[in-house]
Amino acid sequence: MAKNKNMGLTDQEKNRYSRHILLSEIGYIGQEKLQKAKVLIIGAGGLGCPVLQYLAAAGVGKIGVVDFDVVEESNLQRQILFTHLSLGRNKAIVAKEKATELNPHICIEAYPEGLNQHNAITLFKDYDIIVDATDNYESRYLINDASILTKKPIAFASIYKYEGQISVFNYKDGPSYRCLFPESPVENNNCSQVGVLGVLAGIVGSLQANEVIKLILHIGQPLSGKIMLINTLTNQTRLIDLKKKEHTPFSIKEFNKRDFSTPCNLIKEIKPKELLERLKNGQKIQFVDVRSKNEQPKIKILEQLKIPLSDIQKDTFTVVYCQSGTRSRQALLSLQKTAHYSNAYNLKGGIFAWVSELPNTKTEHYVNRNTHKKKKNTIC
Amino acid sequence: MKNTNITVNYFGSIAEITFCRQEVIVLKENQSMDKLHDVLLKKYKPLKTAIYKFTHNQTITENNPTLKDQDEIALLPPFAGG
Repeated sequence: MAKNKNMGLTDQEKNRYSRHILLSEIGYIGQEKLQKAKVLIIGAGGLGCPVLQYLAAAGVGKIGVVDFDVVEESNLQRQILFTHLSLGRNKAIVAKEKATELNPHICIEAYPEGLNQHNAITLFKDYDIIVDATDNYESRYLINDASILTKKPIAFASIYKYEGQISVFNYKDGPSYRCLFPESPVENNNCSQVGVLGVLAGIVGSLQANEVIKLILHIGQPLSGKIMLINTLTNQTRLIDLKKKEHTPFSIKEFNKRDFSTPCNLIKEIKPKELLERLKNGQKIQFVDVRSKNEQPKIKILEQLKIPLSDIQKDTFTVVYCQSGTRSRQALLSLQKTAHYSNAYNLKGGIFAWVSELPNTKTEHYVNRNTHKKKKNTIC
Repeated sequence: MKNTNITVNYFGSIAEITFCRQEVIVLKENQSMDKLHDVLLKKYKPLKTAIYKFTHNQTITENNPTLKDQDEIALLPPFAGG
């Protein structure tokens, strides 16, 4: 179907959005503002699914969806865009398909990749509003700082068990997430570790979508300078006031140098370049891939040196990796806690960092210098 | 000397340390937020390593205001989940 960007609403669209157009605060002009709006949703999980559904249904003209992850069975309890048929597929791609079915009049862009320091600024520049629907502190602080640099407001939400926090940051020089929590906490208390009521994600994600719509239309009072707290067990909601704190301005160069990984003394990390150096020097390294079976990309050298968990030698230099370095950090934590691995490292930034930092590296010839078992199940 | 009743609310993981979502802490007159913080740290040892912000009458505060009778305080931790 034709995407009629900047061309006003067709008769079919006028009919589709008639209940919006009837509202005096929205009307035809407001609906055109929605059509012209560009919103980037980071994370197509529990929050991202309802945000995308409501923004797509509302006729937001361009929506970007960023997610590197694949749909897992344990997601289906709350990530309501996905079905059992989506299992193993990339969330951003499936989300795009589903939202396009919901509204073929809008443009949806899927970014099946992790958000990182290399792509955040470029991505954010193409959009008006950023939706933080992520599940970890690294991404939340990265989004916060990239939004400050690109001067984009953030519709923020986070959830814990039965509770949610919703806010709008960096709007018209208002407070940012760092005005609330200046530094990243040590551990991620995300849904995979602590459990979450599925419907909570739906409620909080809908409130988040509501903030986006208000920002686009300039109606009502956005949650800028306020944090909304909601508890689905007690049905209590509260509004907390948050004042802006002056932070030292920073440049893109300084942003690129910032370390967004969750500070954690227990975890040793290794950068892709340093890892490559060690491979070049012929060091014996064992790799543990903690990603799901079909996750892409497969990196030839890492695949060939990959070994089953049961075969890991405790004293050998070990590198654990996943897509972005978050899950491997958790895996490494449990390896260290349960089996006292002292020579294990997390690949900083995961496979995405490997690919983006070492784009043209031929690594095949380092493989032969390493002595342990090789697997031949490589894909590329 | 009169007592000052402070209602303290706990959110998220903090409520799992305190085993309650709300309680009234009784302080002496003209005592400050820091004093309340000391009382809470003594009562709940794991708070020492927890991360949270204080709200004072529904406003995030990093100051050390003198607390008045019926003031409402909350301990608000960050949530990662999404």
